[in-house]
Amino acid sequence: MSTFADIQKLDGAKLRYALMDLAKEVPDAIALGRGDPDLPTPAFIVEAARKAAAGPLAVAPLAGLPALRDAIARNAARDHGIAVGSDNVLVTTGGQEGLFLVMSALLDPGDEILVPDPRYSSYDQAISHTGATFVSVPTFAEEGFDIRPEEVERRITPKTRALLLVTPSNPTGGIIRPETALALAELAKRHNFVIVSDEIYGKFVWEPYRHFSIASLPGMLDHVITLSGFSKAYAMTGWRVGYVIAPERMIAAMTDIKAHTTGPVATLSQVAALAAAEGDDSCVRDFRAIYDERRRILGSGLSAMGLQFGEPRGGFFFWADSSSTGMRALELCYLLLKEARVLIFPGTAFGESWSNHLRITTLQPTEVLDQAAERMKAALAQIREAGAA
Amino acid sequence: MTMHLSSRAQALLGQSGESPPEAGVPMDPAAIRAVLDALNRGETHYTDRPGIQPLRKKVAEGLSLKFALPFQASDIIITCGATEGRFVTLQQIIAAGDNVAAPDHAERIAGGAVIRGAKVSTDLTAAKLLYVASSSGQTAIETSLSQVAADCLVLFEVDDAESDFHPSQVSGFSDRVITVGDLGTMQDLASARIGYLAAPAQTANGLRDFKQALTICSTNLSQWAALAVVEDL
Repeated sequence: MSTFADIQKLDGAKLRYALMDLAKEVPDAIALGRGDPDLPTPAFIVEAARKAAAGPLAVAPLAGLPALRDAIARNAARDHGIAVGSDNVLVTTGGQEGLFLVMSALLDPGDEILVPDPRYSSYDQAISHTGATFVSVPTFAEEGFDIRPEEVERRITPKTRALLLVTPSNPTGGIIRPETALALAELAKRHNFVIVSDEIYGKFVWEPYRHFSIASLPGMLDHVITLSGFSKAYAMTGWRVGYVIAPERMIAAMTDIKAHTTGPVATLSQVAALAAAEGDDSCVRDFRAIYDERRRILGSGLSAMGLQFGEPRGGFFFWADSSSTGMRALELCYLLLKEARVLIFPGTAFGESWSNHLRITTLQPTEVLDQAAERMKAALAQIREAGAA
Repeated sequence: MTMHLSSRAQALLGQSGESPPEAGVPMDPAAIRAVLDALNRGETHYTDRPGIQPLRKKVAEGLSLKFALPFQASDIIITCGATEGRFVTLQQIIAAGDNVAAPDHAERIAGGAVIRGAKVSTDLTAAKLLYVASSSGQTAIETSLSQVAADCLVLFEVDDAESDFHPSQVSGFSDRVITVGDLGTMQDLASARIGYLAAPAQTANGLRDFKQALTICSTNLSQWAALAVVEDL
């Protein structure tokens, strides 16, 4: 097994993957780390794939199956008020490739992109690969990690090419509220930068909040690139289907880049995604109810442990302050994995300054979440006792 | 406002040269069965980053048999077609401004090189990476290998089912060759977008990390379909 010394040199995505590898060596470990929905892909989607698998399958066009692009455009208009056509849609090999294509098509060496802190660190490589740099924009727990437009404006320079929004946020569970979106849209127009809006968790926003797509604001279609996918909404992570919504010329540019990254997305996966996009979305409502219940259960468990956190407004994660344990989050995560057999991620996997925060997912059945909470509570009691002695 | 495009995007705009659509073909019955079985097992989530272990093992065995070289499952990363294998190698192995030599099939790596900010040429002596494909033939490949610098790595694409020559068989190249191939085109699985990359230990971690950053993992069902039908590589 890797030692603490091995993993403490790591941060970002490498740290997350090292911890996941470590967890494989821990018998009976409960994974509350990765954002992979445990629920099965809905049966009607699987059935569509089952039928298609037995028939002829052609290599799909680079930009995606026309019917799928069309369905994504229709849903964007119906669900989020983003009035686009199929030429504004590119189907990607998961949302992650979408982000890579966006950054490649948008950023040049020396450019700057504004990124809220904390951040989903898998973005780092897509940005650094272009030779651009990211500029952190602080967000604050007391505002539910919504972004302050004035903090964005303060960091705008002539090199600013884009602002990256993730709403709901991974890792904080914060959302961009409509009034914030409006202010950011004004900034984007005034300073001529692009807003890249990652909305992969957009189907899971908790009452009383509502998901809001910044591309739906009047006049913003030419300023916004929206990223999303089927992985989280339909529990389809293994199918690898994401998408980008952008102006036609940007879609054409990303399609030309995609010819060299992975080529077309697997056809069977696109057929399944088409079934999801055209199907009854009551499955998403069912998922939402399940995740909401889990959120309540895990929240109660974390409170009982004495961890401080703001209620997530969307997504699958709790972003909890671990200061009360008197231990740095990375060390705490290592101990919880070894002693409580629960995998969670330390804040330093999402930004250098978050050494006293933990990201914990709700992506386990309720009884498993209860069990994880019990184990963590017992381990934390021991840690606090040892600290007090 | 017209959205700004990066210089690399402008350079590639209109250059993808997409082939006209082809009629679909049914997958091999064994691949269909494997897909249906995988769906029954709920294989619809992420796999391990480098791919499912039995497929990595099968690819390693196939490469070992074909080239009489000791490939291990741990050397193998399952990719979204050979395209991703080439791309990941180009992005991870070379730096902006580096030279890539491609005496043949340069069109396969030209776009990836533009994205990396690298230069593609036929100048072998200045290359940090040499791209060669098995279809170019043993003699042509050996000639190229004889001209590259000692620190030049080799990206070798297996695109000729008959050839059993591999650059690692040449003295001095045993740990300098990254092998990529497509598991789809040879097996009527082109629509599944599945391939592989085999890398020496010193480069494997970086390639795996870059693949993870690009696509996390390859399509789950495609991997099971490939496992069912891959015989000869």
